[in-house]
Amino acid sequence: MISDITLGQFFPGFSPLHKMDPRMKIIAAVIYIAAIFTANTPAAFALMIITTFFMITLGRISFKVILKAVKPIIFILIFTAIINVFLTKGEGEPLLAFWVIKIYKEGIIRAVFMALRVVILIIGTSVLLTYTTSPIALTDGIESLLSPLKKIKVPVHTFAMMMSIALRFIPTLIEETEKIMNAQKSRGADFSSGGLRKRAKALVPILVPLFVSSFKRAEELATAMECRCYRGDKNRTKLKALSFKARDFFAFLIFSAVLTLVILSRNTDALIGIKHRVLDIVFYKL
Amino acid sequence: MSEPIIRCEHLGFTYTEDEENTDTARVEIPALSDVNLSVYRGEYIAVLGHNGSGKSTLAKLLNLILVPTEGKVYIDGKDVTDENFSEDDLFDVRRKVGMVFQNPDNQLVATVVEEDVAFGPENLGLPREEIRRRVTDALNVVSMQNYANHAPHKLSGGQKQRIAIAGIIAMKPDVIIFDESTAMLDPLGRAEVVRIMEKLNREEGITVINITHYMEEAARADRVVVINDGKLILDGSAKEVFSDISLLHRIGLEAPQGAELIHALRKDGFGIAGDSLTEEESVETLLAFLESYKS
Repeated sequence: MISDITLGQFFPGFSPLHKMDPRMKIIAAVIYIAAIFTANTPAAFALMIITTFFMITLGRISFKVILKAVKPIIFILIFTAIINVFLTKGEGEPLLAFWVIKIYKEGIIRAVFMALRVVILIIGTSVLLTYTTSPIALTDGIESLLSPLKKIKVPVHTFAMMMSIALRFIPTLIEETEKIMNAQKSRGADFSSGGLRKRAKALVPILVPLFVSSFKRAEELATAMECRCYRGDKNRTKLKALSFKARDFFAFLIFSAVLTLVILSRNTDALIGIKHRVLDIVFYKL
Repeated sequence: MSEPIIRCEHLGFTYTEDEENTDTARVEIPALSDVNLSVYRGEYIAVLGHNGSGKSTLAKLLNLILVPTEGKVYIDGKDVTDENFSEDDLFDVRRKVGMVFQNPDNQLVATVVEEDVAFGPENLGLPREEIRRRVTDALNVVSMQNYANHAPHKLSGGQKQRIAIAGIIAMKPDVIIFDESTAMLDPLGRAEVVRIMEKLNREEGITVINITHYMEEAARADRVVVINDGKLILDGSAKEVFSDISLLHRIGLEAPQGAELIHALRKDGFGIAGDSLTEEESVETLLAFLESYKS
């Protein structure tokens, strides 16, 4: 299936999240990120966590995979959290004070929020954009979303074509690299011993033939594409067009609702006025 | 006979390359000169020639990847060197004269088989239902309908080449040029591709031009054209072309093995009668000869 390209760890499947239009997924991811950075109350964070769990379940992604995604950043996360705890100055009495270190309530809250933000950001965007969307679908989505830029002469189609050809050739080039490496090994090349410098040097005789053959491939492919009447996106139609379905609008509604709730729960003076007014209207209606 | 689909008159092509280590001097490398060739609808032609003989240049001239530097090419009656020849005409020629190349990997554009086959029709700007129909039909012709949703890089060489052929068929061309399309395939894949070539020629009425190194393939064609050092030197039925084996040897080519064997036997003084090109024919000729030799 389409999924056979192993880049960015796409997990093929037929879940509702997989079936979502890639354009809507990109839009949803933007809303989701906006919501994460707007959130600054425990209630808002609770809502974001619930949304993230909901996405994981909907995409049928195993929690093992999620843990794997978070693992590489745990160290940085703990480190920045500790710095936040120690360096944030708050009002009132410190919770803990010894020697020069004073820990305030605000510091702890800030550290927790920051850590949560990063974790759900990574989980949410991975689930939406990498785990459930094939790179090709993503490319199509980006091309379609950026197509208004064509009016100001941005070569959107060309970039998308380049992206999809690059994806198409990844397995071919991996295969070729293996072949070249085997050919070099059979003549006594050593790629697996020695220091970093020696190993890096050993890569040169692989890269040179790989580049030469890639250029040759590129030229042949260009000729083949011309033979098949390729002339950019001029007068071009598509076998599979992206189309928004009911589920995409539904997803849009959910994500917008989450963002609205998060904004409403914000603790800032400027918003409180608006918040009360909106709540007044809502309750008045009820 | 009706108007040929392809007609070349005194066709020639010269590559111009910058000479190494100099800024101004240019080297002209003549690849093809004074080729006169007419191809009629429905023909099955093989083009033979050793490496660098100019046979691939000829192919590229016929669908305007290269523009002739001398002489004229008429595709379906239209002069491609005419100054009124527009870009739309150019793409029309490329649609009419499809081309399948040597390396199947370097012809496939998409990551899914059916999307690759759809690439040509998409470029032609056809409506979606029509593209869908053509993709299905083309995959049926090459018997790859069960692989519509597969990734091309997981297929065998022969299968990939069949997908490449389907991609060309989907544009509904009048002529398909196979530019050494079997050279990189294993014997099984080669047989598959040749079978499809012949099926296209017989059942779909597509004119097939097979540029090849394999004499056995050439012997199956209705007409064989031999190119040597940029010149067309032989043009006739397979029997005619392979009858002058000494000439073929002089230009670095061979006849099919069976014919070679019989030629060698004749040279040694055995009076074997009859022509034979394919393996089966050679076997029969030799058996007949052995019978007569015994008695």
